[in-house]
Amino acid sequence: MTRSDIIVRTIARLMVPFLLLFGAYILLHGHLGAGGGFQAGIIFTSALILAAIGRSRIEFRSQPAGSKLWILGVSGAVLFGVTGFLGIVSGGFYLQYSLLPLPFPVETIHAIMITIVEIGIGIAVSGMICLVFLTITGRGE
Amino acid sequence: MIWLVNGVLLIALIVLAAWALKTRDLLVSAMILSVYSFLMAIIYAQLNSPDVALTEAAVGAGITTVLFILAIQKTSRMEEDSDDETIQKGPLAIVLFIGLILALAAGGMPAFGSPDAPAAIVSGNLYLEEAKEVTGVVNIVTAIIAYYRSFDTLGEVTVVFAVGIGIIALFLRGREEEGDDEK
Amino acid sequence: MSVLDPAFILGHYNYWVSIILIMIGLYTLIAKKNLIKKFIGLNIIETAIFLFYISLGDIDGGVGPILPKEGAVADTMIYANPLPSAMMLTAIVVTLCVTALALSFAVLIYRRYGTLDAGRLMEEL
Repeated sequence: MTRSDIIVRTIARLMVPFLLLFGAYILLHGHLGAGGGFQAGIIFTSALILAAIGRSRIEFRSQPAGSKLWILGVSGAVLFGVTGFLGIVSGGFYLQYSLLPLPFPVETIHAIMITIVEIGIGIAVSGMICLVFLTITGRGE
Repeated sequence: MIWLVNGVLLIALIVLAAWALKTRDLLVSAMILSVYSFLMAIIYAQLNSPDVALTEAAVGAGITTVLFILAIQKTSRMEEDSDDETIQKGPLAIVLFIGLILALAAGGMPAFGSPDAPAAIVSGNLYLEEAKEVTGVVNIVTAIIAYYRSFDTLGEVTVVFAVGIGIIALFLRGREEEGDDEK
Repeated sequence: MSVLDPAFILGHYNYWVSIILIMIGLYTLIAKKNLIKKFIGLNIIETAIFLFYISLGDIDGGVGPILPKEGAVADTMIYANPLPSAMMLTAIVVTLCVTALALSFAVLIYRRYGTLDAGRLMEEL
């Protein structure tokens, strides 16, 4: 990595919080404008990669950090899968949310569940792709 | 006027793709691929798909390039010499044949942007008419991804998951084999 | 409708470009021996296919498939088809995963055999 280049390191460090903020915006604003879970996940991943390049404070270099990322990736996929089972529990089909016993109109329930699903996708994509990056560089595992 | 911008972008795409094919320096090739993806994202935005444009800019121009550069850093930067520079006749014949078939098929398609095309009349209108009332989500693409085609998306998250597990397994196995060699 | 009709050629220009890009990518995939170069060709083919699908979804005079938040949808508005966008979003992420897996194979192959040239790899095996 660019150990010697102070400009790259400084700019990378400065960019990381803004990228994380932008990712959160894309994730939570996905039902109103362009964006959604995948895009947010990818932007989170690029923020973490930039942090790794800039060697800023949230770098993952130790063994436990890698295994935590693994848990992150798994929990996103599991969140999506388990949310699908809520449909069966409430008497419908898998991934059917309209019968959930919540005190809201149907479209609000749908909007809530879509947001949860998007968050699950975002966590899964960012955790897994980041883990892939760290594994190929030989720092994760 | 917009067709002129579009035309320049599309010609630039072809030039960049040909350049990526021609150069022997893999790092140059990967960076050209990044520029190519970014131009592609602009074209998607111009073709009224902001979601795909955002994703292509983040994935194609960002993460894919990082992965390519990482792989080139771990291997060798230049192509090896056994590749000959001249255009090879066999692959060229195959490619021209496939291109001819594709061109014949595309000639039968309705004109680009035509409002009478079957794709515009049938498939999109269902979602455009009812998605907002049913899901309360304004961005129809998000509604399709997370509600109408949930199973697709579930499968896709499974693919991401499987690839992550596969790469970890590959690298762990590689490390074990190295350990065996040392013994 | 003649093949050389300018209206026919201009009316399909996105399709012609995506076909040319598919041909360039396919040539890279077949003729080049370096594995990483092959994967770059694969990426070019995939983006060309995305371009083809997105072109299918566009409608003249339309806007992106994001409805107004308040009030009813005006009848005069034309929205681009959202279905190709949704499918291509899935495809882009799958492409990223395929590239990541392929590149890790390439790194491991290089670590073991010291070459990425398909011809030399066949000799080694």
